[in-house]
Amino acid sequence: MPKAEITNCIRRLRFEHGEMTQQELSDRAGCSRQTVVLLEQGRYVPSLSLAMKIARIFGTDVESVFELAEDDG
Amino acid sequence: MSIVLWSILALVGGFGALWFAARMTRSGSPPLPDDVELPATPLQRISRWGIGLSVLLAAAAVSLVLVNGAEATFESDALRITFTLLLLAIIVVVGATTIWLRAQVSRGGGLLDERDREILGRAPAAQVAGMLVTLAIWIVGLAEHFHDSGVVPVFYLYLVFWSVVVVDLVGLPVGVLIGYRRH
Repeated sequence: MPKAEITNCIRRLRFEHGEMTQQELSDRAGCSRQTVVLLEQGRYVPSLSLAMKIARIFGTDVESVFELAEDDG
Repeated sequence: MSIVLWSILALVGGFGALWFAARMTRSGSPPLPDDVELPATPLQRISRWGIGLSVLLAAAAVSLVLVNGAEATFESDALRITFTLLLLAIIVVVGATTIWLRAQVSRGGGLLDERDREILGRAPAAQVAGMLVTLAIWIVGLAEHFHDSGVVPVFYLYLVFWSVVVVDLVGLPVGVLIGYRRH
């Protein structure tokens, strides 16, 4: 069964939105800064509600922030 | 082997089981790059404080028994009450914190995010291992030491109870810290 991996462009979006800090994003999304760090490092896959909150903060849709990458290996 | 050594072994064994669980559950992911700072969450800080205070109080209670001897500690009202108060303080510290954290989860307070709630929900798994090892070492120790007489002094039951309570209570914050290592 192919492995699915979620990638995201949160780091780029933060800088495109007035160099938003991780702390500001975490405060607005209602999560810890540790969670934001791990999200950016691709070490944590958020729930749908957190993913939607983050997308809303950046004024875009979930699929513009998160991408499903499939790996056959 | 002396019963005092068995009692130390029981506590060390319980915490050793928790430590082993922590080692075994370390995340298989590669470490984060050096320039990435991973700030502690409020739940992590609370758990570290809880463990630190509990270990200090437990060490004070164990020292009381080691310095005065098990029998003398339980024959003296003052020493027995001091011993009990030290252990009750652990229940207050960890128990009150646990109740407050559970309330945060049920109220959906902003202190914990979805990841913290998931980690807190899985944390009790570490308690079982610690309690079982503590209890097993106590049973073997008491059975070996008092095998010939066939009678176990009642204060050892008191020690068994309190050591299991301490390992159980401290097991929760340890389980929380293990959870953060896995993520």
